[in-house]
Amino acid sequence: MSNVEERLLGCFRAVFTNLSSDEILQCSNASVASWDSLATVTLVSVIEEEFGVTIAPEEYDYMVSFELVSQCLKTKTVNA
Amino acid sequence: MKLAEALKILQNASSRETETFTVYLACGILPLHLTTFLAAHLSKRLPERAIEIRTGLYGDLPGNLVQLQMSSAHAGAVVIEWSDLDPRLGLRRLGGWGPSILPDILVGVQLALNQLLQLLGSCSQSVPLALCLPNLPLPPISHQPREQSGLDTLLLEKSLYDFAATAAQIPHVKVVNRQRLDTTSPIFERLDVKSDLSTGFPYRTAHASKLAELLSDLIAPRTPKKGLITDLDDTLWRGLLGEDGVDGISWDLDRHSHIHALYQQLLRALSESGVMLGISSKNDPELVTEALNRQDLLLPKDRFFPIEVNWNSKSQSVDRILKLWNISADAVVFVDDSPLELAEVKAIYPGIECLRFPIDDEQGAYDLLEKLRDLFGKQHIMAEDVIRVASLRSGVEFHQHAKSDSAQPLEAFLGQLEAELTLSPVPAGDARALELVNKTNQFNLNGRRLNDAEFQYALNRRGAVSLLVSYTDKYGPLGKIAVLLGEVSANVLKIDTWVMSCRAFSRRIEDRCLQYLFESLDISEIELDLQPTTRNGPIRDFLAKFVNAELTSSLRIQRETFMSTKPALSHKISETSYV
Repeated sequence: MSNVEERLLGCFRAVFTNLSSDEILQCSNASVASWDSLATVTLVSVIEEEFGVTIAPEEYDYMVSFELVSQCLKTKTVNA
Repeated sequence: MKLAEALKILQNASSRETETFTVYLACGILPLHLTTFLAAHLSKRLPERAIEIRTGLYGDLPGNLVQLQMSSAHAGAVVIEWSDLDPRLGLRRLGGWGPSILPDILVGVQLALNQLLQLLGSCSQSVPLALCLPNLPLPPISHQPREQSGLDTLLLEKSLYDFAATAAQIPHVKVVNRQRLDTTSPIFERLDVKSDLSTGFPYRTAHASKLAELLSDLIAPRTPKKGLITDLDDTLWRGLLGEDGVDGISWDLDRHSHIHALYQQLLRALSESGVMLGISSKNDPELVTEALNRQDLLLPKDRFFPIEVNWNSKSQSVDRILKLWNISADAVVFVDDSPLELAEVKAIYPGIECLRFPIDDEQGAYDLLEKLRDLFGKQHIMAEDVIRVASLRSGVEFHQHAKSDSAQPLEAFLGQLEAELTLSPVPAGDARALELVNKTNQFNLNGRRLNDAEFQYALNRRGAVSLLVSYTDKYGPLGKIAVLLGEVSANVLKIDTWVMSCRAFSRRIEDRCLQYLFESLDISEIELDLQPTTRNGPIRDFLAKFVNAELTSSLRIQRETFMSTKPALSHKISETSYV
């Protein structure tokens, strides 16, 4: 697991406290009942704090699974 | 505190199966992360309670204040933003910012503030409130350049400060200190435009955390320290008394020692607000007496009690001072210029807050003064604060006489005290009574602390009985020294709160209170909700004489048992009324 993924895992753990690490790696907003719009906003804020990046509202569409969030974040950190 | 950290704190606290402390957060913005941070900071401040934050509807601050009033919350946090005073002052509405609109905004803001004042007045009757004024920068409404204060914005600020000054005078309303917020969260680092436009939450997370921390400070304030022990050389004054002599020590501008004068000035202010001041100095006692008698000293010598001047270790002096003050080490601050002395005291008394007076560092010393102001900050200054040192001295005198006069029986000694008790019901909102409940440890029935709302409830419940006790004798007044709360039903009085200041021990006041209650209420039994704590030995020792069994939980005292067991009582009851 890459360093970005490790740190992202920590962000997910902070928001989705009842999920195990394995569940987080596979999770999406369709599979996690508590992943509503409020959870998305909280997740975005936690990620912005952790990585020092800004996630634009139009990028919220990618905030639907650990995998997509991870890809989005890698693009940002590579381009930064 | 970062958001992830706040979430973690809440996750750890979620398993607390304890009494819930509920706060209603009333605001017009989307509360979002402010809720999380407020819960997290309160959770740190009140580790023994589960925290619940309730919120209302977006964009309806007046409506949320009405909801707050009807809620059964223990406290309210009211956060006002410019958009609550006029939507045109927020970013999510487009009513225009032109010069022609500003007079209308001013009128609207004034009307909104008037309405909020009324609602705050109503709310605060049932729930204590922490109030935060708009803390975001104003949008660019003024046509003047940014470096110039526009008249319209100045008038807006004036309306706001007039409002705050009035609100601060409403009982149970505390206003967040804007200067403090400015210090911890710079104004240009507060607004999150993206978040405001996309969600309606206008704060950056770092600012939300700082704001929540200040609100939690007001909702659940830290217990202020009670006593300060200071060193003399290079602390109360510049110089070494033994080397420089009485005239060689200084605290003035000419000799670049003015920071010590500011320290003296602060100590005097603390003393006038009831803080006990003691001296621990390795010095020649005669020289110290001479120095403390200097007319230009900014606080009179009698403000210090006791004065421990000797060549022993500082911790030994501190030990004597703590015993005389009869307070625990964690209620005390020790100030000295020597890191070695501070470490020595800290090693013996880990609970003492040991602070270094940094010589040759005016800025550092000034920061110390600010820190001391924080540690001793209190909500009210009461009559008892003003007489504290005098009553402390008289208490010592009292105990010395009681011990030394062995030829005189205790009854005779107490009989000639001219002791006088004033008993009355606890007036609603009596700050001293609430302070006693929340800071007394030794003579405390169960260690239970009450917030404003719980205190008011206890006074107003069905069958409520309350007793506020003041004491004076020929050694001087002690002021209000005991509080008792309970409820009477049929022939039984159930007492759930009973505290008495340790300064009032050994005078049989506790016996006299029970006798008064039995007789004035004409009851046959008193039930006491006793809960042993690590520090309430004195009240357990007192109650033990009325029961034969071991004291572990609540107990009942029959009137006949009390009357046949109580010692001789000679207090004069100077004033009584319905309790």
